[in-house]
Amino acid sequence: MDLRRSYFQLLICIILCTASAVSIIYIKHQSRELFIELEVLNVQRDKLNIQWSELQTEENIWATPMRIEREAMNKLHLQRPPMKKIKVYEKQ
Amino acid sequence: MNRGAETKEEISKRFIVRAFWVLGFFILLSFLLVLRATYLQVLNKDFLIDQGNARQIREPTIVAYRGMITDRNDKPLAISIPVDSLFINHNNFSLSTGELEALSKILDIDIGKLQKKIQANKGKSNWFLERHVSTKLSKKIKALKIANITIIREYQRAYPSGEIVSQLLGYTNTDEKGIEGIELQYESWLRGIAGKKKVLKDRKFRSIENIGIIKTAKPGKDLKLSIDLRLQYIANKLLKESILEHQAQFGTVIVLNALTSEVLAMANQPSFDNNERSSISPSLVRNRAIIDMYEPGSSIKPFIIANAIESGQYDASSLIDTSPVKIGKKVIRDRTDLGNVDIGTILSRSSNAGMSRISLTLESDKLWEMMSDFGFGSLSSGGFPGEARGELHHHSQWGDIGKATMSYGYGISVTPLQLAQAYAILANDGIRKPISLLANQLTEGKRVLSSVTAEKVRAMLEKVVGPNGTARKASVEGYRVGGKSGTAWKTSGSGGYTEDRYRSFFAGIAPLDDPQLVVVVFIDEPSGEFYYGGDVAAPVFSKVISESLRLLAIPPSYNSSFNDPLVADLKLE
Repeated sequence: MDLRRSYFQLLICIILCTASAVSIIYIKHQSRELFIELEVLNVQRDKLNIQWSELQTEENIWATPMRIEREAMNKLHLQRPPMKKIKVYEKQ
Repeated sequence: MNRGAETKEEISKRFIVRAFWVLGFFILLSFLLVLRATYLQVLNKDFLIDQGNARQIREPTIVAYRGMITDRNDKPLAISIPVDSLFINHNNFSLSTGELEALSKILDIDIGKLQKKIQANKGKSNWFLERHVSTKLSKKIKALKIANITIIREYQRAYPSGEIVSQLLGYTNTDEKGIEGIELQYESWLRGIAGKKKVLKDRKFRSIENIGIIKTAKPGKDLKLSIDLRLQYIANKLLKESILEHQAQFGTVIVLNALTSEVLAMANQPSFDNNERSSISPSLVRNRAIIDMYEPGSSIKPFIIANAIESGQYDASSLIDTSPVKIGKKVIRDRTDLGNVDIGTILSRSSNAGMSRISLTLESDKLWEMMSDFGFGSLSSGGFPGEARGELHHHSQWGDIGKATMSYGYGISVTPLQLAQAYAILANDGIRKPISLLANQLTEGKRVLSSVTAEKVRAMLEKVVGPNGTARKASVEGYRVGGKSGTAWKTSGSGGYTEDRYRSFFAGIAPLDDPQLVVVVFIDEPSGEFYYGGDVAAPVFSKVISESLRLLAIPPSYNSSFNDPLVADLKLE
C-alpha cells in the first residue's frame, strides 16, 4: 500500500514537473513574441518621430512670415488698413 | 559443433570476456565524452561563450534627440533631423569602378575626389566616407550593397527660419554640439545623451530579449525662447531695408516686452543662414545686440534726467541755462543756443550743454549708484556666450569732464540690450526686471526709480517725438509713443573720435498710455545723406513699433475712448 502511494505521489510530481517545464517554455516564447512586437513598435515610434520632425520643418518652411506676407499681398491682394479705417470697440 | 560441446563454464567465460569488451568500449566512450566536455566547458569555455554572444547578443544604441528650440508660440526655430553617415570599418577598403561611379552619382561628388579620400585613408579603419547624407540618398546607397560600408544614423540641426534668428540661436558642429549662441548657452539642457542596451537576437535578427541597459539614454529637453517669430521677422526686414537705404555697416533691433523684460525680437543685419555652415564668417555671427558695446550718445540722457528729478534738485518745470559750459579747456556747446529752457525741452532738443549743467550739480555717488541700478556696467542677458558688460566707470574716476560728457553719452559704453533694459525700467514705472531670453520666466522685479519720476520722464520722451522734437520721424500714426535718439561719433583706431563716422541710435516706448513694448534701434556708420539718430534709426523704430503693435493687437491710443469721433460714428451705424 505504502509503496503504491509513493508511486502515485511520484507520478503526480512528474506530471507537475512536466507541466511547469512546458509552461516555462510557452511563457518564454510568449514573452519573446511580445518583446519582438515591442521592438517593432519602438522602431515605428522612432520613425514616426522622425517623420513628425520633418513635417514640422516643412510646415515652417511653408509658413515663414516672409512667404505669408508675399502670398497675402500678391495673391490675396490684402493690405494693411489705414489708421482712419480702424475702429476700436470698447470692452464692456 | 564444437560449441555444442562447450561446457557451461566455457560459455559463461566467453560471455564475461565479451561483456568486458562492450563495457570497456562504453567506458572509453564516456571517457571521451568527459574529455570533450572538459575541453568545451573548461578549456575552451571563454572562446565559445564569446562566439555564442557574438552571434546572439547585440548592443544597439538608444537614440536621444537634441531638444528642439521654439519661439514663444511653439514655432520651431531649431530642430534635429536624421541624416546618415557612411562609415568604413575595414582597413583595406576599396571600391570597384562600377561602385565608384554609382556612389559618386548618388552623392554628387567627383569620382577623383572620392578616390582620393579612399586613398588617403588606406590602412585606417573607422573613418567616414561621407557624413550627413540625407536619408533618401542613404537608402539608394544601401541598395548598392557595397561591402564594408556601414550606414550610421546621426542627427543634424536644421533651422527653418534661416537667417532671421541666426545670431541669437547660434549653431552646432557636425557632432551636434552647440558652439555658438543659445545652442552653446543651453548646451547641457538641449543635449541628448545616447544610451546603450544589451539585447538577445534570434536567427532572423529580431531582438527577442532585453538583457540589460548598459547606459541609460538621456533625451535633450526642449527650449522655449521668448522670441516671437513674427516680430523677429519684421524687425529683421525693416532693419535690412534701412541698412541698404543708408549704406550702413551693420545694425541691431531689439523688441522687449516692457512689463516682463522678455526679448520678443533681437535682429542683427547683415545676417547669415545657419543651415549653410560654409558661408559663416565670424563678423556675421556676432550677436551685436548682446556682445558689442557702444557709446550711446544722447540716448542715455533720459536716465540722467531721471536721476536729476529723483534727487529732488530738479522738477519738470525747472529752468536750465543752456549757454556753453566751460570745464577747464573743454567747452561744451550746442549747435543753437536755446537760452533758459525747462528739462523737457533740454531732452526734446537734445541740449548737451544743458545736460552737462544738470549732471555737474548731481551727487556723483548717487548718480553712479542709479546708473548701476539701471543696469549699465553689469551683465544683463543671463549668460549669453560672449556677452559684454559695458563700461560704467566708478564715480571716483569721473572728474568734472567725465561727469559732464557721460550725461550725453560719451565715456560710458552700453550694449543695445542694456539700453533696452534701462528703457524698460522707465516703461515699467521704475521697476527693473531681469532680461529674459526664455519664455514664461516670471521673476520679481526690483524698484530702482519712483513711479512718479518714471512717468515724468516718459512724458518728456513723448515731446522728443513731438512736432518740436529731434525725432519726429519716430512718431507712429494712431499711437502715443516716446523715445530718444542718439548720434555718437565712432572712435577712430588712433584713440580719438572720427569726425565723419557715426553711430545712430533710437530707443523708445509704446504705447505711452499703457506701455507694452520697448524698442531699441542701432545702426552703425550710416554713410548716406543722413546720419542723425533722429533721421536714420527713428524711422525704423516707428515702423517696427507700428507693425508690432498691430500684430500684437494692441489698440490704438487715439480712438479708444467713446468721446472719439471714430467710435461715436460707430455707435450711430
